[in-house]
Amino acid sequence: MRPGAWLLAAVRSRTGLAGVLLLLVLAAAAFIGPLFLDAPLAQNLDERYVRFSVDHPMGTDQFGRDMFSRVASATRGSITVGVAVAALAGVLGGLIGLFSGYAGGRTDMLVQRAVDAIMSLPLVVLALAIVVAAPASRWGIILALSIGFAPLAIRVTRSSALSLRVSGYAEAARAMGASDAAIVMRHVIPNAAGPWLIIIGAQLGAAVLAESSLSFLGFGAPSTQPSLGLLIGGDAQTFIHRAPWMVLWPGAAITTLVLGVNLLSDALAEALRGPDAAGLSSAT
Amino acid sequence: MSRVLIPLIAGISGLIAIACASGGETDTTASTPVGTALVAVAQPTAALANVAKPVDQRDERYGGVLRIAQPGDPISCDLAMSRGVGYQSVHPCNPMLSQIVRASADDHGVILPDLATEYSLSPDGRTWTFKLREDARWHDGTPVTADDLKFSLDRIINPPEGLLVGRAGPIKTYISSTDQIRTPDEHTLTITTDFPAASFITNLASVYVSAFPRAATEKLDPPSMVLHNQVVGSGPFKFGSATRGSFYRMVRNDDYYEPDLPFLDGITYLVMPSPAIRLAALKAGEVEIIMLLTEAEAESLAGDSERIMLIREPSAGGNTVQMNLSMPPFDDPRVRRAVNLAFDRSEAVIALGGGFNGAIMPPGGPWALDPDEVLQLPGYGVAEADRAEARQLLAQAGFPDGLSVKMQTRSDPFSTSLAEFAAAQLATVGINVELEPMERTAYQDFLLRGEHAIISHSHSFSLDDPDAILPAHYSCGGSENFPGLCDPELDEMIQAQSRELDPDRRKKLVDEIQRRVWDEDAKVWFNWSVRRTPVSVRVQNFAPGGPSLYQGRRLESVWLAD
Amino acid sequence: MAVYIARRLALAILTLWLVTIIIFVLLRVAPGDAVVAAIAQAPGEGALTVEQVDERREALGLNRPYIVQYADWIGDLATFDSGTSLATGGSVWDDVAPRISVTLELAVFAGLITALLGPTLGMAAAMNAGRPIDHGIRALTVGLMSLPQFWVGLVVVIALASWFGYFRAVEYADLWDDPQRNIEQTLLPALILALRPAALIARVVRASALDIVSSDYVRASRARGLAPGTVARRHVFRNAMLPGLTVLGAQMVFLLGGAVVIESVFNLPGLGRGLVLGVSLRDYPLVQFMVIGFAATAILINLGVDLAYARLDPRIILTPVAGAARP
Repeated sequence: MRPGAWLLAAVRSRTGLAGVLLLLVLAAAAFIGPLFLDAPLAQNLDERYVRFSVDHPMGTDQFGRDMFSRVASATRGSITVGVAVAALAGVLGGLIGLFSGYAGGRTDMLVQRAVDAIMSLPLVVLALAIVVAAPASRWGIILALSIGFAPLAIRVTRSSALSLRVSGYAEAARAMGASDAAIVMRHVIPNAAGPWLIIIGAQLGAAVLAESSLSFLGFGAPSTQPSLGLLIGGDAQTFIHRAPWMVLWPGAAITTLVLGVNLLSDALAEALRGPDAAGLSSAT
Repeated sequence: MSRVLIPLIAGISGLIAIACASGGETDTTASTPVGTALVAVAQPTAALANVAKPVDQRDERYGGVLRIAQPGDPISCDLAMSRGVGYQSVHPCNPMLSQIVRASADDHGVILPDLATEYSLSPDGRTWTFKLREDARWHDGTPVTADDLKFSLDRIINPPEGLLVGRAGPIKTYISSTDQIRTPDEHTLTITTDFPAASFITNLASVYVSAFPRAATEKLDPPSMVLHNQVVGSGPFKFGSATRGSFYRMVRNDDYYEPDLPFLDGITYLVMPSPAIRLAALKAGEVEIIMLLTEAEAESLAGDSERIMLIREPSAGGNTVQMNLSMPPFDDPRVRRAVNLAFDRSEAVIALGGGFNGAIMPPGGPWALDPDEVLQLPGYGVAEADRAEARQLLAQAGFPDGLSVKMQTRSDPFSTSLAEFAAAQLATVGINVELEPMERTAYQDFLLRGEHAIISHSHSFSLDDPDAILPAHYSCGGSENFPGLCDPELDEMIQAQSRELDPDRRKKLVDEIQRRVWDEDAKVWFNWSVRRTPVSVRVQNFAPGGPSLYQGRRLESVWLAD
Repeated sequence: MAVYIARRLALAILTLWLVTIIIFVLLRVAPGDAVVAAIAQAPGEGALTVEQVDERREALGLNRPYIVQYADWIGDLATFDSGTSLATGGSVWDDVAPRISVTLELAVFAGLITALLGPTLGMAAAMNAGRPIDHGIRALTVGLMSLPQFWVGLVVVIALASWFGYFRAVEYADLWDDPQRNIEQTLLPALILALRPAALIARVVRASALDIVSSDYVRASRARGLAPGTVARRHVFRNAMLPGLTVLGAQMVFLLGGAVVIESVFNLPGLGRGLVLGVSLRDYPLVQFMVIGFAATAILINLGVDLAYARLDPRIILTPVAGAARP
């Protein structure tokens, strides 16, 4: 199936449509909403702990900061983290996987050991990498999570490249005068693109969640560049009982974001299985 | 569980302190009962209502296990030595330990008897003689002797290889050689200080100078009772069982030297990292006490006032912004003054859920500057006028359009929340702050390297005493002197007050130091904080622990009602 | 087979060696060391001068050249010596050992729940593809994968405590001392821990079951007149399990790692909490030992999965190349 048709099919499916809608609503709130609202860090001590008002549809926090603008800015932060991690892990990991699988031999063996090594490291150790890389910015988290998430993309593209190499097809093509680059471009990439894209989608959501876990453990984003993970995982815990809305709205936002992404990637996966998949349903 | 109701007995008299034998001018003869619970009404503002609860002694009953939740594990019970011994070590270790003398929880200058029943001071003000009780025993059954106490002090003066002295440090500044600590007989201990030191006895009464038995300690390698199960103390409770990361259980010491104490069968300190879960456990009645609470958490307990009482008390500590004197633009006193003036202290009380006005010694304590004078200090004026002046000062210093700085703080939610408040205050005078929260250890490393320009930092003192506070915070090279204050004249003043035996004259010297330090605008205190401790109403006779969280609680007289 | 296992073990040692380098470098590059971390734990504890800090570093062996420290550690590993904790001065093993059973129990429970729940949901969805049950299960699994795990944990604990007064996440009871309390304490976190992997496996199983249903031999079986139930049992289930097994293996590794968050919510004194503490105290020997132990376990699990895979599907040729071609 052509990529265009595939994407279209995915978006047209019920799950795909739901995912796209969720993401659109969230993006609109996150990117357009703030135009009408306070700065997320502006304090107003006369309006602390407002539950709901016309000015503050999501209430205010302990410093009287507008929760809507805080959630909007945190949503942008989370989207940045998710997209950056998926892109970095996906693109770099994908390229490394292609190279490793296509090159084979000792290079492949070493790359695979590195992948195994990274995959056997727990998340907290990655958090340590954050502290090292960039203590006071979101980029440390992005870098650390990208390293942690790259192995999956590496495996996906590698196995496509590998199966091509093993099948002897590449040799045949090379014998016919095709360059390595051309073989990769024409045969390996189209073959790997589908699973790769699905992995990327799943990782986008997983990265947003992983970031919130890190915030919970105290290794998260700085409060000046808040993410949704920080709003529910950081000091939010001390407000759960006093001002639940301070936690519910970011919680709803993070779930919407991850759900939207997951639904979309689910639809992509479903569409990739081809028109046959639809026919199957009736077969049982 | 024993449920025997006991009649009026002499048990409590062990707590109602025996007046200390007087000998020297500096003796404090006053003593206060430890056993009165301080009760405060849950109110959203900072109002303190410490109502002494009349104790009907017929109510007292034995038995029960008290459960207290804290966020982390104790690091070491060898409180004198520096290993990272914070309040989370002091509290779970304290019930197993005892001291030569103890400080009153309400006023650290008031000394209560402990292993020593009386003490006297020689006329030259240098030699202290302690008469020790003869009925005290270590948990292994051996008697507590003067030699054990000498051992406990010797190891502070001259620490064993591989160990460094922590908060017991001030003791070292009074005694330069272990020869000055003598044991004329089994139950007498004499200590000769280098100079007549006004605060010596207060610092000796700190929980950080707890007593350890010589024989049991020296068996360890290194000779230091770090883990709970290693502790052989002489306190009202002894080690029961523990699982690192979960709980530390102590059981009643039937041989405790105070007759008929303690009341409880046991105390369990529980490790619970998540604040939301700690609060849930309290509300579900699974723990009786939580160590620390934010104001928001305290307010959420309003509906549980029948089951949980909330104690609000001044904590000997507060929140500061500190500027490095050698780092531009803060080498300019005008910029520092502008920072001080930017803070509206009354806004801080609202936003941070309470607080007190103070200079540099803890407000409410015996060394605090007169409250009326505090209000005259720069930064305590009318906010609009102060802030206008601040902007002017900034303009004079060459920043007519304000300036931008990076401010570091610890990345835990509590610290970042404070820093966000501080940043918003500074923004009112045109100082735009970019916050850089750093992981705890990375932040400490950063401070040690001295690369900071401005930080948002909270302090909590272990003892409300000038010798325990001033040298570390304001002397040249002091460990908490993050601005890098180095003023020889100030150092001399700090030394002079330590040697001044007359309490009134000493207070005047300390006040003078307070004014001088405040005028530097280097360590800017913008909120002296409130400590909130929620306690189940079942817990009786609970003294919340006085101004310092770092002195812990022995909990020998606490008992549990139904 | 023996050759294959030997070869895999050799590769595993190479991987572990890489892990030692990664963790050693990460720890040393991270700002602060055990001495600074101790000060940070209790700010203002002692007036440690620069000389004293240095003295302490010397005593802990932190001033030695990195290459010496590394060689020392590798030497310890080779002789199965866990090293000395910088924080307590005791043996690292003494700190780690009691934590192992806690996390292992949690992971085993979570693994069982995953193995039970995942394939059941997956097959149920596949057998009813296109029907409301299928849609429901798909929605449920996507939903479960979209919730932050610690958040679910917090909400569940708080809700149970405030509505039913049920709270067991306190005072960890040993399995042998108080089995009932221990299981109560472990089961709930295990269930929450299992939600995500179970959802993932359900989806993988559903997808592969649908693939198999459409394959020729299943169609042929059905054409032969076999009852749909028999077809499902005899062909579909067994084959659909294969990818599920791979995912389960990977997820066991994830369970071990994800335990850290759940352990913090449910106050379980497990390995994850130990690791967090070790990292913040910069207790190099402790963190190094735990990470290596963790990596070794992860590698063994994956090896086990590959072997089981080969057993279930004789078509798999046991060479690294074929092994790598798994999904």
